[in-house]
Amino acid sequence: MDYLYYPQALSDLIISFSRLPGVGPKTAGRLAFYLLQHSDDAEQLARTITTALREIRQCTVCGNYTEADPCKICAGERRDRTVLCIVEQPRDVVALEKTREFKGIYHVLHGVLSPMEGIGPEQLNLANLLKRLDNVKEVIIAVNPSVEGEATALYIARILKPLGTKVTRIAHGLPVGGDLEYADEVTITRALEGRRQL
Amino acid sequence: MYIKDLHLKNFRNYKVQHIQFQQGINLLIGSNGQGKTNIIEAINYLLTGKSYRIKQEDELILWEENSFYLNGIFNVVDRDINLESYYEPRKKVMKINQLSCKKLSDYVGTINAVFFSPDDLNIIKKGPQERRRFLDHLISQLRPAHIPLLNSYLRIIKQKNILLKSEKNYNLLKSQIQVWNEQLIELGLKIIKNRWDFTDRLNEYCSPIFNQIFSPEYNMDLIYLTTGKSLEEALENFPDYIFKKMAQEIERKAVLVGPHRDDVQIIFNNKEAKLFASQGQQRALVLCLKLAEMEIILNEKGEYPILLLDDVLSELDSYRRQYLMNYIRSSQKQTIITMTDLEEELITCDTPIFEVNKGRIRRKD
Ligand SMILES: Nc1ncnc2c1ncn2[C@@H]1O[C@H](COP(=O)(O)OP(=O)(O)OP(=O)(O)O)[C@@H](O)[C@H]1O
Ligand SMILES: [Mg+2]
Ligand SMILES: [Zn+2]
Repeated sequence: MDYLYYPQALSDLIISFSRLPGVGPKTAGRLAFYLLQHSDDAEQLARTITTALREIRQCTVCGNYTEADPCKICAGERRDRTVLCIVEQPRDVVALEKTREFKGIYHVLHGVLSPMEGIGPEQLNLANLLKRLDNVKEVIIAVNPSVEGEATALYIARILKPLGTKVTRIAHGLPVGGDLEYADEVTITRALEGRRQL
Repeated sequence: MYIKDLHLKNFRNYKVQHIQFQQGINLLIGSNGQGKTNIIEAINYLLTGKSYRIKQEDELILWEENSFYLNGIFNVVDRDINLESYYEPRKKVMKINQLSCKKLSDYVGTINAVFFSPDDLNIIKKGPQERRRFLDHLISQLRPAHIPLLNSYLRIIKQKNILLKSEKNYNLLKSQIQVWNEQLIELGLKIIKNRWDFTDRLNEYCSPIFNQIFSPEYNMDLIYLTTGKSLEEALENFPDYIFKKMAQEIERKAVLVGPHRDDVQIIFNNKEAKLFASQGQQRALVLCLKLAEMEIILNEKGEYPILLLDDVLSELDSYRRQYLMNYIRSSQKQTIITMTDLEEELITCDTPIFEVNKGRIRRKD
């Protein structure tokens, strides 16, 4: 690759960029050169990254990204604590919040079962989930409708069933293989309405 | 249905090429390695978003170029349909009438073709995989939902295989296998059902063709080998098989049952064709399968698919070849035939002949 001919620090930068999702070697090079030419932007970016890493943590209750712990939703007085919605990633919380339809609380798994990627039940934020179910009447599983999402939903349903909690799954209206993140608000709202019991 | 127009840009050994096909027979003539099969491959790719000859799409790009583009105008039920494919590494665009398709299954099956090349002998000669591929390809043409079904199923198998190899904790292993099995059963049942239905249909359409290609004392039969001797039995047994095999799967650290291991047995003259049919008989059997495919598509779509014959005429004996020629000439079907040397018996005065020479095509007048 070209970047082997660059000075060490520059090629490290290019390699770091190319590790990011959706960034190929070409774009990585373009970004690196841009930052070298625009040092103000580069320093700003470096500071923002450092701050984000310092200030953002996972909520110890739900697992969502937050500055204050517990997060605003977990601490919120108006939230309905009888309905808990399980999602894959923090960005799925955003997608659901934008619909303003869901008033309950969330639980973020940070992934789905995927042996290929070395993700088993122990790699997911599941242990905390069981501690949160005291007042919960319904658990809505809103992970993406991939085969991994489906396996995860079934796995969670099997754990929760014996505890007597009602478990539902939203799938209708969401494109198979599509990410919740990209579904528009109407689709998500419709999906929430059409959930089925597991 | 037929192809009217094909544009290629940087596809295989074609820089820029335009071909206007006609209904009926079209001949592509050229010596070895000039680009005849590449044209057939382009048409196939345009219709299915795939090529049987490649591992990676990059191989289809003209050497030293960065992308390829194909554009075809097809006619089906008196309407023109425009299909386009664009590919550059990590970007693939497929369009129907200028509209991008998000999934392959939105695209496949719009226009159908039956492709026949000497390699198809592998359907008989080689392992179950070739026969499953033949069957799945036919199903996908007519039931595009079969494509995501297969993809999801194969992904489950892959995940379960890795799970069996990597999970050390027995309880976690068992509880995870159960959830993968649940989906494996759901999708597996649908795949078995589709394959069973289409094996039945192939049988139905093969036998009249077979009787014309072979003398009447012979017979041909396709048997879908799965978890039961009838469809009902197979569907009923399948979940049990999966549960029963679980202990063994854990021990062997591999998935041992499911339609990804099924086969379609081809019986010729009461014996397995793979083992007992002669080379020529095997070829004739493949011809039967391909013509049955034509008839099944006709039956479903109301029009014959495009027939693509790559180098096969020279491989058939004169009787079967004559049969095939009569078949092609009777009723409306477009056929694109490649061969190295022009054979006069194939042409009438209006048969278009395209000379293929080093990635350039010229219509001979
Ligand atoms: N990506 C590519 N870029 C440029 N040329 C290619 C590419 N892939 C294959 N070729 C060339 O295309 C030619 C093969 O074309 P094709 O397979 O269509 O031949 P053919 O006319 O069918 O020959 P045969 O009669 O032997 O089957 C070869 O010369 C090969 O080198
Ligand atoms: Mg060829
Ligand atoms: Zn929280």
